[in-house]
Amino acid sequence: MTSSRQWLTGAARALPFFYAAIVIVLVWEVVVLLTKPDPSILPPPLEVAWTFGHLASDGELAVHTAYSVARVFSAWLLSAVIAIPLGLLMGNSRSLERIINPFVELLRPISPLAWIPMAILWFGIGESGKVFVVFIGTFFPILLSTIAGAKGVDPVLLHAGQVFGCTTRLSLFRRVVVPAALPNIVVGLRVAFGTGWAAIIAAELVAAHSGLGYLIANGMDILRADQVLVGMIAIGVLGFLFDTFFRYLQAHYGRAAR
Amino acid sequence: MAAIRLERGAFLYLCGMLPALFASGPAVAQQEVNYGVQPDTDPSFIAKALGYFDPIEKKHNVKIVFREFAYGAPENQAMAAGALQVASAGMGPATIAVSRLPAKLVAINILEQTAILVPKDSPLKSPCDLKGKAVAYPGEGSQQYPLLLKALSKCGLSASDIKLFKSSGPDIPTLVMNKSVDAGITWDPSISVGLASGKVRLLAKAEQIMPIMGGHYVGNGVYVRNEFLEQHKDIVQELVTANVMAVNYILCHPKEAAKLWSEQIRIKQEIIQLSLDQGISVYSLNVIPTEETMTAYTKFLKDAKILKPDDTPKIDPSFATKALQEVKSGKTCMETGPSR
Repeated sequence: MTSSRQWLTGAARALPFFYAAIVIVLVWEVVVLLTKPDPSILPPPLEVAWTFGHLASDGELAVHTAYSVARVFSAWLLSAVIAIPLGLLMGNSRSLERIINPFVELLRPISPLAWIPMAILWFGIGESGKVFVVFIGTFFPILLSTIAGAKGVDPVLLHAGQVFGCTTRLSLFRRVVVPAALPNIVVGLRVAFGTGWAAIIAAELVAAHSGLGYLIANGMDILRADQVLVGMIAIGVLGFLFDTFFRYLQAHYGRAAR
Repeated sequence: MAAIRLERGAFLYLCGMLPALFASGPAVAQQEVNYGVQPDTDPSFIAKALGYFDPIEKKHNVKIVFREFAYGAPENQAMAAGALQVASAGMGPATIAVSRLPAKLVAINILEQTAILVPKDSPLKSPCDLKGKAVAYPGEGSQQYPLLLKALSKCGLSASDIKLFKSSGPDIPTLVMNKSVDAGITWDPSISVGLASGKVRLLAKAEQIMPIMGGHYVGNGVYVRNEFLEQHKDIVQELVTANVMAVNYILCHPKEAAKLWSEQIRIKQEIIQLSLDQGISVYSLNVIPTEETMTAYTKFLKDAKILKPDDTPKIDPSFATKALQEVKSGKTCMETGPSR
């Protein structure tokens, strides 16, 4: 009974997204029927679905997706490994924050896309350059969310921690500050994955031979709007799935932290 | 209430002004013919510099406007959007355009125009030595990519045997010079710019990889949107003839042509002269896009998976055929065939 209710709740939540997808396809089809554009400008949904099926069945879409996901994931992980401890320390130490914050504020406004030429010069044409660009895009959201999480711990929690035996600063940090900052950290990780996803597409547009960004750029070069749209749809669907996953984590860790 | 009255007044004023605006224009508005070009040794620049387009503009009350693009893909996108009526681009983009857009290929106005470059002191001797090497190329939509694949396939290699690095055509000689890559395939005049620096050398010319027209590779094509072609056949004919006249001038006066190009595309005259002397860009009065040439070229693009199996390029050789007859009836520097 519980599982069928859960299934129904899940289906009810997914319904608006199906509705949105159907409306988009219907509007798209109507526009094609009414305006009869050249397929190189706007192909009909069926043609794009066929190309999607073709690219999926011959494995090309999976390869490009895997490259993009792997690049984003490795950069995001690297950012998390550096930004979370650094953010927790900065959130707990005013002097450290005073030292590091000017660097953060100077570098943070520079778009990851602006780093692409330098990334090619410094890291060459391999994977490191693309990972570096995504790293820039993912590092700051995680760092800032972690700092906010660590600084925003309720003083009541800190006091309760001391009462319940966290006598040293380290134990208070480990047993109260870190768990209390966790919801913010997860928000940062979620936002960072989104920005990383946007950055990788741009990085792959410039110097790559694989990835969804490359698939789109290549489609533009050879007048294959159907291929461009397949790349865009894949990005949209993957972005939605990752965001759903992070929302679940956020809800889960939010409850755990409470 | 006063605001509504004011808005209504402004609306009526605008309605009254519109016919006046139309009436004040010229009796017959001059039509713009948007002609897509790239800053390369395209005969169209010579035609423009020599004033070959002037009588066309005067006769048909049109203005031929050159729209410059860095490479073929954005040029094709502009044509797809209907922003260009005529375009001149590398044969790769040109063939893609006439396969997928409502457009027809009317002339092949440059031969060769592509080569593989390596650093001067590179140990590489032929495209077969490229295995495992980093090769810069200008993207899959360029004609250089399938040509590179063709060169590799002759040695039993494929794209997966090399490290491909996509870059802009004009940057490729610099990447080769700096040894950021082991080799690079690009178009002219970027090839000649690299060669003139003395820091790069040719690994292979296009004619060694795919000689399909008079012993040469086909470099550049002129294509026209169907709509424009149907409505202005005479303008298209005169534009193609102007191109062939320009080719004739290039063949008769290569030094003067190099000077004119230099002024038009802002590249040193010596570099353009080097291109002509070394046959990097080759010119022939025979600009006719024949069925045979295009069948071979289309197969080549389909093998490289750039064209889909059902893509069929649309060509109209009648304009180039007539242009050749018209030019040959006057004084020409050579009959048909390459410039060397």
